[in-house]
Amino acid sequence: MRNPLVVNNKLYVFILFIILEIISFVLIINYNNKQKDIFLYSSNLFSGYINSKYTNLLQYFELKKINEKLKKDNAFILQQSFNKNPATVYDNKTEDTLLEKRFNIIPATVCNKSIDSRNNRMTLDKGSNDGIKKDMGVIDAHGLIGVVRKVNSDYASVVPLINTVSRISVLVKNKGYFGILEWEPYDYRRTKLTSIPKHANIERGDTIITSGFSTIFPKGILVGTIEEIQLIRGSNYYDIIVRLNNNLALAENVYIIENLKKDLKNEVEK
Amino acid sequence: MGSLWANNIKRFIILVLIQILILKRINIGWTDFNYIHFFIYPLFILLIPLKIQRPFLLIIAFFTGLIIDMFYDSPGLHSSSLVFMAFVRNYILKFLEPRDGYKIDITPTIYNFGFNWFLIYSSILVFLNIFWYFSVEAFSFQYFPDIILKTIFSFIFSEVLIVLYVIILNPK
Repeated sequence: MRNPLVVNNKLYVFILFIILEIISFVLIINYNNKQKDIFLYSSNLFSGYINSKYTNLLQYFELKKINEKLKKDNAFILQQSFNKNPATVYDNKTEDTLLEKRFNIIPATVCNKSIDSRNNRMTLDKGSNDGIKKDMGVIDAHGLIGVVRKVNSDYASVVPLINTVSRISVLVKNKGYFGILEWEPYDYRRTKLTSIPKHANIERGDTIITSGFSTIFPKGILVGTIEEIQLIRGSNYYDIIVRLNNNLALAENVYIIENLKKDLKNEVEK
Repeated sequence: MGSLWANNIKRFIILVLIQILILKRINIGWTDFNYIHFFIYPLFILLIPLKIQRPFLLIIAFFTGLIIDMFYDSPGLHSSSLVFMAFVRNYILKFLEPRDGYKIDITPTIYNFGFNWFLIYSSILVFLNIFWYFSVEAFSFQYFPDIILKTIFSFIFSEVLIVLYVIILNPK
Protein backbone atom coordinates (compact mmCIF):
# COMPACT_ATOMS: atom_id res chain seq x y z
CA MET A 1 0.00 0.00 0.00
CA ARG A 2 1.30 3.44 -0.94
CA ASN A 3 -0.02 6.57 0.53
CA PRO A 4 0.18 9.52 -1.86
CA LEU A 5 -1.81 11.84 0.39
CA VAL A 6 0.78 12.85 2.94
CA VAL A 7 -0.19 16.47 2.44
CA ASN A 8 -3.89 16.88 2.33
CA ASN A 9 -4.38 20.58 2.03
CA LYS A 10 -7.63 20.59 3.82
CA LEU A 11 -8.75 23.91 5.09
CA TYR A 12 -9.85 22.66 8.45
CA VAL A 13 -6.32 21.57 9.33
CA PHE A 14 -5.12 25.08 8.72
CA ILE A 15 -7.98 26.54 10.72
CA LEU A 16 -7.21 24.21 13.60
CA PHE A 17 -3.58 25.29 13.42
CA ILE A 18 -4.60 28.95 13.62
CA ILE A 19 -6.96 28.29 16.52
CA LEU A 20 -4.30 26.44 18.53
CA GLU A 21 -1.80 29.21 17.85
CA ILE A 22 -4.30 31.83 18.96
CA ILE A 23 -4.89 29.96 22.19
CA SER A 24 -1.14 29.81 22.73
CA PHE A 25 -0.73 33.50 22.06
CA VAL A 26 -3.58 34.43 24.37
CA LEU A 27 -1.82 32.46 27.06
CA ILE A 28 1.49 34.13 26.34
CA ILE A 29 0.06 37.62 26.27
CA ASN A 30 -1.96 37.17 29.42
CA TYR A 31 1.14 35.97 31.09
CA ASN A 32 3.36 38.77 29.82
CA ASN A 33 0.94 41.47 30.72
CA LYS A 34 0.08 42.00 34.31
CA GLN A 35 0.76 38.64 35.88
CA LYS A 36 -2.92 37.84 35.82
CA ASP A 37 -1.67 34.34 35.63
CA ILE A 38 -4.40 31.99 36.48
CA PHE A 39 -2.98 29.06 34.72
CA LEU A 40 -0.36 26.36 35.04
CA TYR A 41 2.29 27.90 37.21
CA SER A 42 4.71 26.01 39.23
CA SER A 43 3.15 27.53 42.29
CA ASN A 44 0.36 25.26 41.14
CA LEU A 45 0.21 22.32 43.42
CA PHE A 46 1.03 19.62 40.91
CA SER A 47 4.21 20.87 39.33
CA GLY A 48 5.23 22.61 42.54
CA TYR A 49 4.94 19.30 44.30
CA ILE A 50 7.05 17.44 41.76
CA ASN A 51 9.63 20.20 41.61
CA SER A 52 10.04 20.35 45.36
CA LYS A 53 10.25 16.58 45.69
CA TYR A 54 12.92 16.47 43.03
CA THR A 55 14.83 19.35 44.60
CA ASN A 56 14.67 17.49 47.91
CA LEU A 57 16.23 14.49 46.26
CA LEU A 58 18.99 16.56 44.70
CA GLN A 59 19.64 18.39 47.94
CA TYR A 60 20.16 15.14 49.72
CA PHE A 61 23.25 14.49 47.64
CA GLU A 62 24.58 17.94 48.30
CA LEU A 63 23.86 18.14 52.00
CA LYS A 64 27.44 18.68 52.97
CA LYS A 65 27.99 21.49 50.52
CA ILE A 66 24.71 23.12 51.47
CA ASN A 67 25.56 22.96 55.14
CA GLU A 68 28.84 24.63 54.48
CA LYS A 69 27.18 27.37 52.50
CA LEU A 70 24.46 27.89 55.10
CA LYS A 71 27.05 28.34 57.77
CA LYS A 72 28.73 30.99 55.71
CA ASP A 73 25.43 32.72 54.98
CA ASN A 74 24.50 32.76 58.64
CA ALA A 75 27.86 34.09 59.63
CA PHE A 76 27.56 36.85 57.07
CA ILE A 77 24.13 37.90 58.28
CA LEU A 78 25.10 37.70 61.90
CA GLN A 79 28.09 39.85 61.18
CA GLN A 80 25.90 42.40 59.44
CA SER A 81 23.49 42.62 62.33
CA PHE A 82 26.38 42.98 64.78
CA ASN A 83 27.81 45.87 62.86
CA LYS A 84 24.58 47.66 62.35
CA ASN A 85 22.93 47.49 65.67
CA PRO A 86 25.08 46.15 68.48
CA ALA A 87 22.54 46.92 71.18
CA THR A 88 19.95 44.48 69.87
CA VAL A 89 22.45 41.69 70.08
CA TYR A 90 24.07 42.39 73.40
CA ASP A 91 21.13 43.71 75.38
CA ASN A 92 17.72 42.21 74.83
CA LYS A 93 16.08 44.14 77.61
CA THR A 94 16.40 47.52 76.03
CA GLU A 95 13.14 49.38 75.56
CA ASP A 96 14.38 52.08 73.29
CA THR A 97 11.81 52.35 70.50
CA LEU A 98 14.59 53.17 68.04
CA LEU A 99 15.79 49.61 68.39
CA GLU A 100 12.36 48.12 68.05
CA LYS A 101 12.17 45.29 65.57
CA ARG A 102 11.28 46.61 62.14
CA PHE A 103 12.08 43.69 59.88
CA ASN A 104 11.32 40.04 60.24
CA ILE A 105 13.40 37.50 58.30
CA ILE A 106 11.92 34.22 57.03
CA PRO A 107 14.34 31.69 55.50
CA ALA A 108 13.26 29.71 52.44
CA THR A 109 14.70 27.47 49.73
CA VAL A 110 14.44 27.97 45.99
CA CYS A 111 12.62 25.02 44.45
CA ASN A 112 12.33 26.22 40.86
CA LYS A 113 13.81 29.02 38.84
CA SER A 114 14.73 30.23 35.41
CA ILE A 115 17.51 32.65 34.58
CA ASP A 116 17.75 32.71 30.83
CA SER A 117 14.38 33.75 29.50
CA ARG A 118 12.90 37.24 29.26
CA ASN A 119 10.53 36.81 32.13
CA ASN A 120 12.46 34.86 34.64
CA ARG A 121 10.77 33.48 37.70
CA MET A 122 11.65 31.78 40.90
CA THR A 123 9.53 29.64 43.18
CA LEU A 124 10.16 29.31 46.92
CA ASP A 125 9.08 26.42 49.09
CA LYS A 126 7.37 28.62 51.68
CA GLY A 127 3.93 30.13 51.35
CA SER A 128 1.25 31.95 53.28
CA ASN A 129 1.35 29.21 55.94
CA ASP A 130 4.80 30.49 56.86
CA GLY A 131 3.71 34.11 56.91
CA ILE A 132 4.76 35.10 53.43
CA LYS A 133 2.66 37.74 51.72
CA LYS A 134 2.67 39.48 48.38
CA ASP A 135 5.24 42.28 47.88
CA MET A 136 7.79 41.09 50.38
CA GLY A 137 11.45 41.44 49.47
CA VAL A 138 13.72 38.45 48.88
CA ILE A 139 17.50 38.49 49.44
CA ASP A 140 20.29 36.06 50.01
CA ALA A 141 23.67 36.44 51.62
CA HIS A 142 25.15 38.01 48.51
CA GLY A 143 22.48 40.60 47.94
CA LEU A 144 19.18 41.32 46.35
CA ILE A 145 17.03 38.70 44.62
CA GLY A 146 13.54 39.99 43.96
CA VAL A 147 10.01 40.58 45.17
CA VAL A 148 7.29 38.08 46.05
CA ARG A 149 4.54 38.33 43.48
CA LYS A 150 2.12 35.57 44.28
CA VAL A 151 1.60 33.17 47.17
CA ASN A 152 -0.51 30.19 47.91
CA SER A 153 -0.55 28.08 51.02
CA ASP A 154 2.74 26.27 50.35
CA TYR A 155 4.67 28.09 47.64
CA ALA A 156 5.59 31.62 46.72
CA SER A 157 6.42 32.90 43.27
CA VAL A 158 9.09 35.59 43.02
CA VAL A 159 9.82 38.14 40.31
CA PRO A 160 13.62 38.25 40.45
CA LEU A 161 15.43 41.44 39.52
CA ILE A 162 16.37 39.79 36.24
CA ASN A 163 12.81 40.03 34.94
CA THR A 164 11.78 42.69 32.45
CA VAL A 165 8.92 43.84 34.69
CA SER A 166 11.09 44.28 37.75
CA ARG A 167 11.65 47.87 38.97
CA ILE A 168 13.71 48.41 42.10
CA SER A 169 14.64 51.69 43.68
CA VAL A 170 18.38 51.88 44.43
CA LEU A 171 21.02 54.28 45.63
CA VAL A 172 24.66 54.93 44.75
CA LYS A 173 26.40 54.29 48.05
CA ASN A 174 28.01 57.31 49.75
CA LYS A 175 26.95 59.60 46.90
CA GLY A 176 23.23 59.66 47.49
CA TYR A 177 21.99 59.62 43.92
CA PHE A 178 19.05 57.33 43.49
CA GLY A 179 17.72 55.58 40.41
CA ILE A 180 15.65 52.71 39.17
CA LEU A 181 17.04 49.28 38.44
CA GLU A 182 15.62 47.74 35.27
CA TRP A 183 16.66 44.61 33.47
CA GLU A 184 17.18 43.97 29.79
CA PRO A 185 17.40 40.45 28.50
CA TYR A 186 19.44 38.21 28.47
CA ASP A 187 22.43 38.72 30.69
CA TYR A 188 21.62 37.47 34.15
CA ARG A 189 24.77 38.94 35.71
CA ARG A 190 24.09 42.52 34.65
CA THR A 191 21.25 44.97 34.88
CA LYS A 192 20.59 48.59 33.95
CA LEU A 193 20.37 51.59 36.22
CA THR A 194 18.34 54.53 34.92
CA SER A 195 17.30 58.01 36.08
CA ILE A 196 20.71 59.07 37.37
CA PRO A 197 21.06 62.69 36.15
CA LYS A 198 24.14 63.50 34.09
CA HIS A 199 25.54 66.02 36.58
CA ALA A 200 25.91 63.23 39.10
CA ASN A 201 29.47 62.55 40.08
CA ILE A 202 29.70 58.77 39.76
CA GLU A 203 32.51 56.47 38.73
CA ARG A 204 33.05 52.93 37.66
CA GLY A 205 33.23 50.65 40.64
CA ASP A 206 30.78 52.59 42.79
CA THR A 207 28.61 50.37 44.93
CA ILE A 208 24.85 50.20 44.38
CA ILE A 209 22.59 49.49 47.36
CA THR A 210 18.84 49.50 47.91
CA SER A 211 17.40 52.89 48.74
CA GLY A 212 14.86 51.92 51.36
CA PHE A 213 12.33 54.31 49.81
CA SER A 214 9.85 51.54 49.21
CA THR A 215 8.45 49.42 51.98
CA ILE A 216 9.83 46.27 50.41
CA PHE A 217 13.55 46.41 51.16
CA PRO A 218 15.37 48.06 54.03
CA LYS A 219 18.08 50.52 53.06
CA GLY A 220 21.57 49.28 52.34
CA ILE A 221 21.20 45.82 50.82
CA LEU A 222 24.04 45.25 48.41
CA VAL A 223 23.02 45.06 44.75
CA GLY A 224 26.20 45.33 42.72
CA THR A 225 28.81 47.66 41.32
CA ILE A 226 28.82 50.07 38.41
CA GLU A 227 30.56 48.48 35.48
CA GLU A 228 29.99 50.90 32.66
CA ILE A 229 28.71 54.46 32.37
CA GLN A 230 27.38 55.77 29.09
CA LEU A 231 25.91 59.14 28.28
CA ILE A 232 23.65 59.09 25.28
CA ARG A 233 23.79 62.38 23.43
CA GLY A 234 20.74 64.54 24.04
CA SER A 235 19.74 62.64 27.13
CA ASN A 236 19.83 64.10 30.60
CA TYR A 237 20.39 60.77 32.24
CA TYR A 238 23.21 58.30 32.31
CA ASP A 239 22.83 54.79 30.98
CA ILE A 240 24.55 52.69 33.59
CA ILE A 241 25.34 49.00 33.49
CA VAL A 242 25.47 47.43 36.93
CA ARG A 243 27.22 44.14 37.56
CA LEU A 244 25.19 42.20 40.09
CA ASN A 245 27.01 40.98 43.13
CA ASN A 246 24.61 38.10 43.37
CA ASN A 247 24.74 35.18 40.95
CA LEU A 248 21.11 34.19 40.63
CA ALA A 249 22.03 30.95 38.94
CA LEU A 250 23.47 29.77 42.24
CA ALA A 251 20.84 31.21 44.59
CA GLU A 252 19.60 28.42 46.78
CA ASN A 253 18.94 29.56 50.33
CA VAL A 254 17.12 32.85 50.47
CA TYR A 255 15.66 35.11 53.12
CA ILE A 256 12.33 36.86 52.85
CA ILE A 257 12.02 40.25 54.47
CA GLU A 258 8.83 41.22 56.17
CA ASN A 259 8.50 44.91 56.93
CA LEU A 260 6.58 45.17 60.17
CA LYS A 261 6.06 48.91 59.82
CA LYS A 262 4.81 48.77 56.27
CA ASP A 263 1.24 49.78 56.97
CA LEU A 264 2.33 52.75 59.05
CA LYS A 265 4.49 54.09 56.24
CA ASN A 266 1.82 53.54 53.63
CA GLU A 267 -0.72 55.26 55.83
CA VAL A 268 1.28 58.44 56.25
CA GLU A 269 2.07 58.55 52.54
CA LYS A 270 -1.48 58.04 51.44
CA MET B 1 -1.22 -1.55 16.56
CA GLY B 2 -1.70 -1.47 20.30
CA SER B 3 2.02 -1.69 20.89
CA LEU B 4 2.60 1.21 18.50
CA TRP B 5 0.60 3.54 20.72
CA ALA B 6 2.07 2.05 23.85
CA ASN B 7 5.53 2.77 22.45
CA ASN B 8 4.63 6.36 21.67
CA ILE B 9 3.18 6.94 25.11
CA LYS B 10 6.27 5.43 26.72
CA ARG B 11 8.48 7.64 24.57
CA PHE B 12 6.38 10.67 25.49
CA ILE B 13 6.85 10.04 29.20
CA ILE B 14 10.59 9.43 28.86
CA LEU B 15 11.17 12.54 26.74
CA VAL B 16 9.12 14.82 28.96
CA LEU B 17 10.91 13.54 32.05
CA ILE B 18 14.33 14.05 30.43
CA GLN B 19 13.30 17.55 29.44
CA ILE B 20 11.89 18.77 32.74
CA LEU B 21 14.11 16.95 35.18
CA ILE B 22 17.48 17.11 33.45
CA LEU B 23 17.66 19.41 30.45
CA LYS B 24 15.80 22.24 32.15
CA ARG B 25 18.48 22.38 34.79
CA ILE B 26 21.42 22.37 32.43
CA ASN B 27 22.78 25.79 31.91
CA ILE B 28 25.97 25.65 29.90
CA GLY B 29 27.90 28.53 28.60
CA TRP B 30 30.24 31.15 29.85
CA THR B 31 29.19 33.52 32.60
CA ASP B 32 28.37 36.25 30.13
CA PHE B 33 27.13 34.13 27.30
CA ASN B 34 23.97 32.28 27.89
CA TYR B 35 22.52 31.15 24.63
CA ILE B 36 22.21 27.42 24.91
CA HIS B 37 18.94 25.70 25.64
CA PHE B 38 18.36 22.00 25.15
CA PHE B 39 15.19 20.68 23.59
CA ILE B 40 14.55 16.98 23.29
CA TYR B 41 10.76 16.78 23.53
CA PRO B 42 10.20 17.75 19.80
CA LEU B 43 11.47 14.25 19.04
CA PHE B 44 8.14 12.94 20.27
CA ILE B 45 6.31 14.74 17.47
CA LEU B 46 9.04 13.83 14.96
CA LEU B 47 8.54 10.13 15.61
CA ILE B 48 4.74 9.98 15.49
CA PRO B 49 3.65 7.50 12.79
CA LEU B 50 2.83 8.95 9.39
CA LYS B 51 -0.69 7.68 9.22
CA ILE B 52 -1.91 9.90 12.06
CA GLN B 53 -4.67 12.33 11.19
CA ARG B 54 -3.28 15.85 11.04
CA PRO B 55 -5.82 17.53 13.36
CA PHE B 56 -5.07 14.88 15.91
CA LEU B 57 -1.33 15.52 15.55
CA LEU B 58 -1.83 19.26 16.12
CA ILE B 59 -3.86 18.64 19.25
CA ILE B 60 -1.29 16.19 20.61
CA ALA B 61 1.43 18.78 19.94
CA PHE B 62 -0.55 21.47 21.70
CA PHE B 63 -1.03 19.48 24.88
CA THR B 64 2.54 18.19 24.90
CA GLY B 65 3.66 21.81 24.70
CA LEU B 66 1.35 22.80 27.54
CA ILE B 67 2.76 20.09 29.77
CA ILE B 68 6.28 21.33 29.10
CA ASP B 69 5.08 24.89 29.68
CA MET B 70 3.72 23.92 33.04
CA PHE B 71 7.23 23.13 34.19
CA TYR B 72 8.88 26.05 32.42
CA ASP B 73 6.38 28.58 33.81
CA SER B 74 5.68 29.85 30.34
CA PRO B 75 2.05 29.15 29.38
CA GLY B 76 1.66 29.05 25.62
CA LEU B 77 5.29 29.33 24.60
CA HIS B 78 6.27 25.71 24.04
CA SER B 79 2.79 24.77 22.87
CA SER B 80 2.89 27.50 20.23
CA SER B 81 6.22 26.34 18.81
CA LEU B 82 5.32 22.67 18.95
CA VAL B 83 1.98 23.23 17.18
CA PHE B 84 3.86 25.14 14.50
CA MET B 85 6.28 22.26 14.10
CA ALA B 86 3.47 19.72 13.91
CA PHE B 87 1.78 21.86 11.29
CA VAL B 88 4.80 22.07 8.99
CA ARG B 89 5.78 18.41 9.54
CA ASN B 90 3.69 17.15 6.67
CA TYR B 91 5.05 19.75 4.25
CA ILE B 92 8.59 18.72 5.13
CA LEU B 93 7.62 15.05 4.72
CA LYS B 94 6.20 15.86 1.31
CA PHE B 95 9.38 17.69 0.44
CA LEU B 96 11.53 14.72 1.48
CA GLU B 97 9.28 12.08 -0.02
CA PRO B 98 11.11 9.13 -1.63
CA ARG B 99 10.38 8.55 -5.32
CA ASP B 100 7.91 5.77 -4.69
CA GLY B 101 6.06 7.47 -1.86
CA TYR B 102 5.65 6.51 1.76
CA LYS B 103 4.29 3.26 3.06
CA ILE B 104 1.10 3.95 4.91
CA ASP B 105 2.10 2.16 8.08
CA ILE B 106 5.48 3.63 8.81
CA THR B 107 7.25 5.74 11.41
CA PRO B 108 9.88 8.27 10.28
CA THR B 109 12.96 6.76 11.89
CA ILE B 110 16.56 5.95 11.01
CA TYR B 111 15.58 2.30 10.92
CA ASN B 112 13.10 2.92 8.14
CA PHE B 113 14.68 5.72 6.12
CA GLY B 114 18.39 5.76 6.87
CA PHE B 115 20.57 8.16 8.79
CA ASN B 116 20.91 10.94 6.21
CA TRP B 117 17.21 11.19 5.62
CA PHE B 118 16.47 11.38 9.33
CA LEU B 119 19.20 13.95 9.90
CA ILE B 120 17.74 16.29 7.27
CA TYR B 121 14.19 15.69 8.39
CA SER B 122 14.86 16.30 12.06
CA SER B 123 17.22 19.24 11.43
CA ILE B 124 14.70 21.21 9.42
CA LEU B 125 11.87 20.66 11.88
CA VAL B 126 13.89 21.18 15.03
CA PHE B 127 15.40 24.35 13.62
CA LEU B 128 11.97 25.74 12.72
CA ASN B 129 10.67 24.77 16.14
CA ILE B 130 13.50 26.50 18.02
CA PHE B 131 13.43 29.58 15.83
CA TRP B 132 9.69 29.97 16.39
CA TYR B 133 10.18 29.41 20.10
CA PHE B 134 12.75 32.17 20.55
CA SER B 135 10.92 34.58 18.25
CA VAL B 136 7.72 34.21 20.22
CA GLU B 137 9.61 34.38 23.48
CA ALA B 138 11.15 37.73 22.56
CA PHE B 139 7.84 38.84 21.05
CA SER B 140 9.49 41.48 18.92
CA PHE B 141 12.22 41.61 16.34
CA GLN B 142 14.09 44.21 18.32
CA TYR B 143 16.18 41.36 19.70
CA PHE B 144 16.85 39.75 16.36
CA PRO B 145 20.59 39.07 16.83
CA ASP B 146 19.84 37.45 20.16
CA ILE B 147 17.13 35.32 18.64
CA ILE B 148 19.43 34.15 15.87
CA LEU B 149 22.32 33.35 18.19
CA LYS B 150 20.10 31.51 20.63
CA THR B 151 18.45 29.60 17.82
CA ILE B 152 21.71 28.50 16.24
CA PHE B 153 23.42 27.39 19.43
CA SER B 154 20.36 25.72 20.89
CA PHE B 155 19.66 24.04 17.58
CA ILE B 156 23.12 22.48 17.33
CA PHE B 157 23.02 21.06 20.85
CA SER B 158 19.41 19.91 20.67
CA GLU B 159 19.94 18.23 17.32
CA VAL B 160 22.97 16.37 18.64
CA LEU B 161 20.93 15.18 21.61
CA ILE B 162 18.04 14.07 19.44
CA VAL B 163 20.27 12.17 17.03
CA LEU B 164 22.10 10.55 19.92
CA TYR B 165 18.81 9.48 21.46
CA VAL B 166 17.66 7.97 18.18
CA ILE B 167 20.96 6.22 17.54
CA ILE B 168 21.15 4.77 21.02
CA LEU B 169 17.58 3.58 21.35
CA ASN B 170 16.99 3.06 17.61
CA PRO B 171 13.17 3.12 17.59
CA LYS B 172 11.57 1.23 14.73
